[in-house]
Amino acid sequence: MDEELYRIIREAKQGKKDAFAILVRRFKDYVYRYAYGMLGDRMEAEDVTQEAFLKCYAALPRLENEFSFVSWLQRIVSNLCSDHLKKRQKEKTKPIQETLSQMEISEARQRHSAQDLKWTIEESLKQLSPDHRQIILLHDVQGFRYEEIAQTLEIPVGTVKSRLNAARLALRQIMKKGEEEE
Amino acid sequence: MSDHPTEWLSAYVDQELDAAEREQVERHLEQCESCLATVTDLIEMQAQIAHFYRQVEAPEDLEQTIMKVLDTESTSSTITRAGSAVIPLFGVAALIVLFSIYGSILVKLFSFVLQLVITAAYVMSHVIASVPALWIPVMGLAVGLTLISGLSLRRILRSSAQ
Ligand SMILES: [Zn+2]
Repeated sequence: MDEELYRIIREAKQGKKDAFAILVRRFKDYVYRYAYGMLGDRMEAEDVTQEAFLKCYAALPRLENEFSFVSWLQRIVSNLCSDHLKKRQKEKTKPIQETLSQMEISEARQRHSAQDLKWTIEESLKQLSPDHRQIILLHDVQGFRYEEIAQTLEIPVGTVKSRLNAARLALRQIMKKGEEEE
Repeated sequence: MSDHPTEWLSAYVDQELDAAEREQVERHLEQCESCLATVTDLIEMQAQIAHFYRQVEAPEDLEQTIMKVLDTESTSSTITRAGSAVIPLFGVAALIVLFSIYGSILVKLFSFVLQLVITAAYVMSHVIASVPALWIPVMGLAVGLTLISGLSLRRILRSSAQ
């Protein structure tokens, strides 16, 4: 984080589109990466990234200080992703969707035994609960410290510590299972 | 090896433990192979995750798409804003023109209608007063008409709001 970035954020806050375009260029991978990690689908991640930046532009004048821009942007993406996951959960009650996802998993399993591969990190992450996936992404991909995660998710640091630990142990378990299935 | 500090291992890897906790974990790791294996796995997993997602990048054209949407949104909103200001202005102007042309006729027409209504009300009240049995159907009719007009007004307002 540098002075240059804060200046650009201040300009974008005043509604300058050129400045906002620089922010999009600088943070589009950051936003997309998280959305892709949470949703596991490129098209959906693209939609969410677009939505997030449009929301960001509209709400930017209300951002209190430019130093908290990144965690603020992160909160926008997090909320959009959980909305999408909730929507997906609702659609899952339709039987077609459910069999599709089950088919996907069994297909992946077959591919694994056929190619003699263990679960990739991406496939293993997909099997975690959204909460566990989220906290791993926030720490290992987005680079947040425990204190920052606590602020972003509005939970105590102790919860961050225990949730991240549980998430990683669950992930390790999944990856081990993938190895045993060979 | 009874007390495995399992719930601390992740925070240990992330260097989020305080000095005393870290020392405790380190002392344990020197003598516990299973916890050491877990720590090694956690470090390996973390590296894999970071490596995988570093390669995930947004599509090239996403930036242009976003800026294009922003541009079209802002132009359309200025148009509607201008439009919504122009419509009442037009209405007022049309009324002024209409009134200046047909002003005298309109005033005459209005006073005539007003007189007609007053007379009708006067006659009606006399008729009703002289025949008390008429009160109930007339009141019923009035209440019914008020309800119907209220409902239809509500429907009109609702459909125009959509
Ligand atoms: Zn141990």
